[in-house]
Formats: sequence, C-alpha cells, structure tokens
Amino acid sequence: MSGQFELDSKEVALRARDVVVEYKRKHMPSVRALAGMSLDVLRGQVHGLVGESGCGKSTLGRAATGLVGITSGSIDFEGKPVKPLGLRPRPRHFRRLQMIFQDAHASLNPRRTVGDQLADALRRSQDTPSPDRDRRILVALERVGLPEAATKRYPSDFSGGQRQRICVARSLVADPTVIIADEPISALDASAQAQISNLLAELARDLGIGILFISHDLAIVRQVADVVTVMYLGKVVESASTDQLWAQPLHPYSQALIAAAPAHDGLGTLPEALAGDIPDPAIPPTGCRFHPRCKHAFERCPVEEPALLDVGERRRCACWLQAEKSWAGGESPQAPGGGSGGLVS
Amino acid sequence: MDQLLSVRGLRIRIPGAHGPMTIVDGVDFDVRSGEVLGIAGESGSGKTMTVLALLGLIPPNAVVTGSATFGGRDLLTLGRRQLQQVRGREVGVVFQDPMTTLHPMVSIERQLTEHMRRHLGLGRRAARVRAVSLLEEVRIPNARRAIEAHPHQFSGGMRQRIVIAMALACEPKLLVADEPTTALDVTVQAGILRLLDQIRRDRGMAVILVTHDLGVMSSLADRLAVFYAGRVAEMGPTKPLLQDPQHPYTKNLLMALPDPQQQGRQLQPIPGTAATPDARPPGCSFHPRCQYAEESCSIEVPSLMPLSGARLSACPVAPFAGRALLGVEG
Repeated sequence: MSGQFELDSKEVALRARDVVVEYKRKHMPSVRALAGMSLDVLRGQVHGLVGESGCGKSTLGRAATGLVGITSGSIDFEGKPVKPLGLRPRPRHFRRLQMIFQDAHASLNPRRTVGDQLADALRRSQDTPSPDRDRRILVALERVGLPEAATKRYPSDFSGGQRQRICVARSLVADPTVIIADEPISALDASAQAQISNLLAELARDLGIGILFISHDLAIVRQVADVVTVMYLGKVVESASTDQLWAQPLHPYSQALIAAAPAHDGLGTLPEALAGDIPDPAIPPTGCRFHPRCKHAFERCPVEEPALLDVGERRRCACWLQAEKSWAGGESPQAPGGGSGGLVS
Repeated sequence: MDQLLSVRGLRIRIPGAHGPMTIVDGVDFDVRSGEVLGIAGESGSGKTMTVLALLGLIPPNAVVTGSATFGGRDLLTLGRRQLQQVRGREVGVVFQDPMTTLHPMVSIERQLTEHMRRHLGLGRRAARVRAVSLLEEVRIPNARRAIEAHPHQFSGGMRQRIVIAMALACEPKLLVADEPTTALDVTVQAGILRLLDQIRRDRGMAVILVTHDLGVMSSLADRLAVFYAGRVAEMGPTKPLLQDPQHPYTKNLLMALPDPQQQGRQLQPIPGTAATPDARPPGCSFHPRCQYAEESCSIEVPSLMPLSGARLSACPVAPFAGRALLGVEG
C-alpha cells in the first residue's frame, strides 16, 4: 500500500497453463468448464476476461484463487502453485492474491461494522498483530474514496457502489499483488459502474496490482482493460491488446461479441445477433467449438480443432481462417508446445 | 397520432420505516398507438413501480393517485376482475427473468394457451394451433415439439422468446417490457431486440420499454422518458435526447457510460449518490449532485418545460438547457 509502484516490474503475477476444470456428475457425462485454458495476469495491468455466460470465465477466476480444484494443468501465483482451499489456513503467501465478487452485499457481514470487517481481513493477512492497524484501515478506505466515519457504520448504510468499494478496501488491506474481480460492476448502476471501473484501473496503475477483470460487459472492458482474453466454451479463442481487439477483431466470435453490443448513440441501429446458443459444455461440438454458430465455418472447422496461434505481436487467435492466412503468407504458424508459452503481455 | 395511454399526475407512496416514501412523484406521459416509449432510469428511480402501478401489480399497501387512461378507462380505478380483463388481453407483459415468469412444472403448451382460452374463448385444439404459430413467430425452432417441453429444456434466450410469445397471444395493443434483456448475454440480447423490433412493426403494437440500458433504448425506443428519483427529468425523441441531452442528469449519465467511439477515456461518474426514496432532497432531486445548481434549485420543484422538437426538460437552470428551445438542435 505504500509508495509508488515501479513500472519496470511488469512481471507475471498469476500464470494459468492448460487449466482443465471438470465437474463430475452422476449418470451423466462430466462437464469440462475449462478445457485447457492459459492466461497471464501481469502486475500493473488490467486483464479483461470476456465471454458469454457459461463460457467458464468465472470458473477460471475461482480456480485461480483455489475456490475450485483444477483437474489438470497448473495455476501459479508468484511462482508457487495455487492449491485448492481446504480446512487449513491459506498459506501466507497466497494472501496477496485477493478476490472481489459481483454481489458486494452478500460478500459483507451485515451485522459487523465496516471497520471491524476490515480489521478482520488485516488480522487474517498477517501473522503478527499489526501495530498500525487503524492507520492501514484508514489508508485502504481513503484509497477507495470512503471517509473515516465509514468504519463505524454497517454495510446496510451504504449504496451498492459504496459496498463494492468496501469490498475493494477489504482486499487492499492484505497488500495484494493480484485481485480477481468477478463481474464486479454487473449489479451496479451506470455511475457506480464508472466509479468502480476507474478505481480498479487506478489500483493497477498506482499500486501495480494485477487485475483480472471478469465481465460480460464489453464496453466497460474496453475502457478499463489493457489486454483482453476472449473465451468460448472453456477455451481462449483470442487474446490481444484492447486497442488491437477493437480495431480489428480476428476471431469470428470476438467480431460477433463486439457487433452485438448496442451503442447509445441514438441512431436506432439494431445490434447484430449471433445465431444459436452457447452449446452444452458436456457435449462440446467437434473440431472448432464455435463452428456451429460461425458464419465463416468451412469444411475443416467441424473436423479439426484450431490451435491458439501467434498471429501478430502479442496477439493470439484460435481460428482456421487465421491459420490458413498465415500459411498462405509463407509464414509458418508458431504453434506453442501444447498451448503453453508466453501469452499476451 | 392517437393516444393509447395517458398517464397524468401519477404518484405512488408506500409506507417506510420513517413514514411514507414517495416512490413516484407526479409523473405525466403519453403512449401513442404503435410507438415505443422508453422509460430509462437507475435503480430506485421509480421506473418499474410506474409500470407496475398501471397493471395493478404493486403492493397492496401502496397509495396510488393520479390517472392512467387506457381505452376510455382509468386503469388506476379498475377493480381486480376488470384489471384481469386488461392484463394479458389488452396489455401484454414481459419481465426481466423468464425463469420466474414461467412455471417450471407446467408445459409450454398449457402456459401459452391458458390465457388464450380464457380471454379469447378458444378451444383446446385452436389454442394449440395458435400457440405453435406464436412460437414460430418468435423463432423457436421445432415449435411443434417445443410446445410439449418444459421451461428448463430451453436456454435463457429461448425462454424469453416464449415469454414474449405468451405476451403476444391475445393481440395486445400495448406491450410492457420491463428490463426484457437484462438477464441475457449480449449476443442473445441482440436477437431479442431484433425480434421485438420486428414484432412491433408487424403488429403495429405500442411498447413501453423499461430499462437502465441506454444502448437498448437507442436500438428500440422512438421516444424516451428519463426518470430520476421518481420524476421525469427529460423526455423527447430518442435521437436528439441521446445526442444533445438538455437535462444535467441525462448529460451526466451519458458521461458515465463508456463511449463506443472513444477508447481509454476516463469514465466520469456522477458526483454524489443517487437520492433514495426515503431521503429525497427538496426542490429538484438532482440538485445536490448537479454542477449547475443554483439556490432556487433546492426550493422549487421544476416542472417539465416544453422545448422545440417535441422535447421536454425539467431544468430551467443549466447553461446548455434550452438550446433546443432556441432552435440550436443537435
């Protein structure tokens, strides 16, 4: 919490490689919520994770904090593997990996004051009692723009946006290096959405926290994220810097997502619908998972699954159209071994 | 154009912990035949309570005054039986969450035909034929088989299409859609917006669309009423209203939204917090958050002033307000 963050340390704080999360069900095929998903969250960067509901974006956030166990693959936080939460206290090291949720109201205890709840979080994040406990709580509250008087009040005294700021403050007392924000603004009004989005972007810029911003709202992600990963049915279909993705989305699914968002320009244009619904992840389509809904699908798509290839500087896409284009251009596509290796940074 | 619905002086009070709360405080608006009127506003602005009051669906302890003339009757004075004749027959309703609208244990056929048989007096077979054609109209694949299924067998978008089919079943003159796409993914939302647009054009049906999402409004609504703290801040045709807002609240709200044309611009939240129904400031409810507020704003409740281009705004003070009045339209 103290001092300005040095911008040269854009190191990878959270690294997910080929993560598979499978939910087993009785008498039914198991569901692969994540089917080999890789992603890097760098310090000081807002990493947007977008996709339709059911694509596995929340599962990734939960797996990254150990709230769900992974079936295979690896998730490392600052070089150490994240273990699923059990009955034992979390290893001290992982306390710098924090999470905030969509429903701030449900995340806070209605019967304890805000100050007490922040003190609880501070006590949990430290092995020895902190001598400057009160000061650290006030610094966290000030950081999120709440007055000192807030410590004496209860969650119900605050609006939805303020409650989410309390949740952010609670994660800040642990001095985090990564915050997983799972739909942090979806339950808020426009003005509060703007406040929380700006706040999270500030935390990344000023404190060097890496933020995984999970959201279905593309317009907000475009405003706050530095890089964006687009997910479909448990896999990455495209990852790029925010500018690149909106300037020229390469994957047909990214194109469809961007075209589906209505603009508030008053021009009365209807957004483009994407045909069909997200398939049942228990029985994913063969080949490219997106092919039944893709208007560019051709013979190859239902047969073979495209790999996530480098298609430019710090840019990746899993689409046969892109793969064939780069072959036609005389370049050999650089398929990373098993989908691992450096991602967009 | 003829007025289908005329709401005048609508006021809704409900008892709160510290005395009665005025949820909706003197709202006037008209809905013309065949138009889409958008009611926009943040949560707690009274937009949903307004439409629920028209349908007689608000809590029994609420006190409703004013009038809502629809087809020569005042909806606010109708009894329970008379309202049942209006709801489902003359006014169709679509709510946010299709899973709570649909009964999970009852087949689509029964849910779709129940009110057709009651209101239109159709027999079982005729109602079924009509239900299938409605499902086809809302583009449910395999309508003949779908009608025998139960709600859980459909995805969220398909369920909302079924709810829309139910609302259309008795050929209503007015459709009330309260946040019809808020629970859906953006890709699915786009499909529902296109469907609603198609249906209202095909049928010449009027729609009251309630949503906080100005993008949805921009796609569908012909006119917009922007609610703030139980009152209408601004009203007018969608395009000029969104492109050149005349009320500081509308202007601030648009500044808080991500701009599709401009990336990386810092979002500008509206200062302060929204006025809750139990603590509404005196005078203009927006004045504590307004950078243009003057002394008079905290005393007098501003009324909606007519501007040019069929626009109305409840702000006499802001420097840009009334530009439309002077004919400098956007």
